[in-house]
Amino acid sequence: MKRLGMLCIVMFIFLSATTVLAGGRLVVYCSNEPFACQAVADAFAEKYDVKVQMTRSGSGSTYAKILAEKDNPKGDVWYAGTLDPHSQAGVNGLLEPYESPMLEEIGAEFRNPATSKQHHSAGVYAGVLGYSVNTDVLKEKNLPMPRSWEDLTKPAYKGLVQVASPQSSGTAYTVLATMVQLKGEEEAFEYLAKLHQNVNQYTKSGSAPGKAAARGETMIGIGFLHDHALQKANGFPLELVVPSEGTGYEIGGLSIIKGARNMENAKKFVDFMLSAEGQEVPQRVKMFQVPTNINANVPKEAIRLDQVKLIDYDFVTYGSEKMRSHLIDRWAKEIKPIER
Amino acid sequence: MIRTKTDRAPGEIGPWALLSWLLIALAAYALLPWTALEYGLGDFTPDEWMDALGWRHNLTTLVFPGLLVMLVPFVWIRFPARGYAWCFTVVTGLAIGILLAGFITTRTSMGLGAGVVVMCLAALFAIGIAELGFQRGDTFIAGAVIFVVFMVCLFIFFPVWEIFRNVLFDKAQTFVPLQFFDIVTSFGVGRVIGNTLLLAFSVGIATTVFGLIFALYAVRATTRLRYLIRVFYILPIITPPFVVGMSLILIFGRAGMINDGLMFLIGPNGLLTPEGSPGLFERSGYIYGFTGIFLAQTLSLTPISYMVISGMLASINPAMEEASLTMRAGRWETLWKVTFPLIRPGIANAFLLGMISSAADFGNPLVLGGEYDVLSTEIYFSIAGAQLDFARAAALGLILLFLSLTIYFIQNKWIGKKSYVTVTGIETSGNVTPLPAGLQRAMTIFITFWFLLIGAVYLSIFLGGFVKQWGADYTLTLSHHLELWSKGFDSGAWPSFKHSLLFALIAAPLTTLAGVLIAYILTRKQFWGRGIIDFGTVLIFAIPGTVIGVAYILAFNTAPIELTGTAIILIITMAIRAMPVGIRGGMSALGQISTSLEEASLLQRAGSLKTIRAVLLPLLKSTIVSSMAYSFIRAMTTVSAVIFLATAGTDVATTYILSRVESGDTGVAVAYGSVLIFTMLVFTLLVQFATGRSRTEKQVNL
Repeated sequence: MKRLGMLCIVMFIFLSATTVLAGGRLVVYCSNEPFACQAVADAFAEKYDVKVQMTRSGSGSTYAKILAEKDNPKGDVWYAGTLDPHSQAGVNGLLEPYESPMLEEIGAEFRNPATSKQHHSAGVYAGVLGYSVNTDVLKEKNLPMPRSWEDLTKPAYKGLVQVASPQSSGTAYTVLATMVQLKGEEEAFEYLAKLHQNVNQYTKSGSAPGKAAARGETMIGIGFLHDHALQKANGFPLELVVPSEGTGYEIGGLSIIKGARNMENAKKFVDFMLSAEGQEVPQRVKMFQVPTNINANVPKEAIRLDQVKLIDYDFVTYGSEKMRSHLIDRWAKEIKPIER
Repeated sequence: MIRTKTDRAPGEIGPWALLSWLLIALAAYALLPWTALEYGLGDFTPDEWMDALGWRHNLTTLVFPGLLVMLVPFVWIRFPARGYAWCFTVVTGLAIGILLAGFITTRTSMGLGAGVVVMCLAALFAIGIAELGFQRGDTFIAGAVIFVVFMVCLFIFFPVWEIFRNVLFDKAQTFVPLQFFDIVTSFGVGRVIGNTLLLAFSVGIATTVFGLIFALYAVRATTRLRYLIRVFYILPIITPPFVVGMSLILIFGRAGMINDGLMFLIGPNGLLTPEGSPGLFERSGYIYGFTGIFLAQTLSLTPISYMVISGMLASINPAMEEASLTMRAGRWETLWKVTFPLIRPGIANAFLLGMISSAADFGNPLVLGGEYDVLSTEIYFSIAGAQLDFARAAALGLILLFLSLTIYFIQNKWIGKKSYVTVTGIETSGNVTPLPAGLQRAMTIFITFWFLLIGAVYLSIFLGGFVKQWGADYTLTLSHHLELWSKGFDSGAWPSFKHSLLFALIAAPLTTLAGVLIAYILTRKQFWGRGIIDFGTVLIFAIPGTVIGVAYILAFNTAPIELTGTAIILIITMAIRAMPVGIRGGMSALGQISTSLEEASLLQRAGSLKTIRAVLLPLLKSTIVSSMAYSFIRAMTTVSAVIFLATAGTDVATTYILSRVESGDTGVAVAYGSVLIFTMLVFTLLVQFATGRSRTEKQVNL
């Protein structure tokens, strides 16, 4: 009987500890950097008095999680991460179409970017591809500042360029797809073979080259420039370069999961994240992605989309699983094994 | 063998014990959530709790309280004895079966209430089979066996089976038996396996040779330096595995000390470089790849091989070598022809241990790998990288598991049988043979150099936390430590540090208890089904952390048992990772305790629970204390398995440090690492002090 008494006490503590929730709940699957996820969740929770539960993991694993929970969805809304997995989820019927009233304030190319074209996902931020150069190392080596993709293959930069491996990094796949769209597949692979001679290391993570460039571990790091802007804001001697030939970009996805248990709050969250107010939240924690809301403040550290030459990135073709594995396999077979 | 009420030993199961199991099960059914709470146990509203109750969720679940109530009369009516026992066994066994099948077929997740009901049913089942004669009617042992088999099935066999299932079946659940070969023969996998084997082999050789040098020196040399060796084995135990790798970046990395120094001297514009010459040296990243991982693993694993070999060396009867010297063999000849053959099994063991630890290591290849891919990191990036390929992760995990199981079996079946121990227990006299003078001098130089390197490693970790940016700006600063520790208990390093402490504090007693229990069952009991526990133990010993991580992700991510993202799964993982400590400690301690003590107690009609409590536990006290301490340390420093399972809300110290390494905040990472090492060091010294004292106390009492 003593054990039963204990049980009742435990039950009592449990029940009294829980509070009544005014604005209900929301489960956010977040694929942004951890601190940005936390900031966004806190801001939304505070504004609408909603109890927000946030789970952070990469966009690939989040897609797998949503797929696994198809019959019994646990998450309500999926924030951030590259668009491709969002697109895939939309095509496979895992997402709820939603046309937010806030779409009016969103740049035209970000309103309905996903493959399904049924408003399964909206673009919540954009990130520009480029590279950053450690100016201290540049001075030490007395080399000219590179300005274009072509510059990176010059023999002077041998062993000074770092980029992620497309086998493990979505960022590096964007590099690959950008080259193919800029030059055509054959020439792109010729370019990558030449670049290979200058690469000192293919990293696993897409944001690693920028961090290595910040520390002087490499002189040039290729990646999304908002990652590099963060390092620059932290005081490292970096110069951010948008290659002169034009460059690719990524779109951060924002989608509601089909069968969400808190549908009303999920819609509120999408509206919030598409508003200028919501899109300015990540800037507060030094995430310098470009907001897609035309009224949102663009942080001075971020690259402004209207000031750089962007390619007309084909998210439908290059986001498809088939093209993806074709390009990655070809890279792994033809480029990676070359001696250098 | 049937036992009737009259020959029931005192302390055995009475009506109240039976009744309380039944009542707990009924109460759990009535009050606790039958299905998993939608937002977890830590976060729910009263409504959600109510909806999850079995009798509100689905009326068919009423079959369980029905069966339980049916058993209540049998608490008092125990006649005929066999009929009563059969009734208990069959009804509870059936109920467990229906319950599990129900959750699996409806693909719902089990809640706390269902878990408690299963536990109670399992206890009643154990009572039933004990009454039927299993374990000679000893309910405690029967319960313990059921418990251990249950846990081994749930947390070892089931996850490992999930790995097989992901390899054998594709996403649409069609049987694809050849998928494994497709993956293994696919581009790049062969190279990864080759890399892993080459690294493991080289590290095995290196750690064995160096371990041998250290062991010979510690046991045989005449200099003072040898005392230092006896202390340094503590270091790898308290250091998280990847921290050595991190410090190598600080020392040898492109912006590290060595590169900086060489650049300063002979680089372009260097001190010794002639004007206008391009310089003799360029910064290079040689540390990333094979060299770096090899160095880091050799540094951190050599102490283990030292311990194995020195244990063997100390067990040689000095008379053998003395005899050889008396027969006019020189010191060299004695060393070659007498000493080495005697410690050969120790050497082989150290080599295999080095290989297995190298193949299982995850932290160092992650930090230093560069483009040198090994199995453990490939597994991680198959899940955490851009590809997200569970089948590939599972297949690679299977290869790694097979590799370490093979080595484990060679170690146990082949070497384990050869006993070269020459200490017989009979008092032997004779002095330890000293080393040949030349050899000792060479070793002194080598070991001094080694200690300088180790010193540099730990110094760089310590100092790295106090400089602004290693490699760029060596201004002294407290900012890294302040960022970690001064921003309140809910930010910086505190949440992860608190999690680590809390989880490890819960896991340590659990794993020790389970480990000693398993050791007890394996050394003392014979029964049908023992093989299950036996094989489970082998897996616990041999399974690499990354494989555990993948297996748990695959097994506990969806219904019926959904644990990913919870603290529970991390505690279980830590417990499983630390369990070899408890099992090994329990086995060796129990091996030294004669069974006659327990038999005497049992003959006096004490139940086995009482025997364990009154006879074995006091004798095992120091083993339990020390294995609890080392389990705690292992739980605090483990990374390979928990990295798959820790989430934003449950990150632990090691995963937090690794995430800071990944985001390039080396200063913060080493600052945290040095605090962690320091904490563990203080803790270890305290424990050694405490257990050392308890040993002297015992001697005083005798």
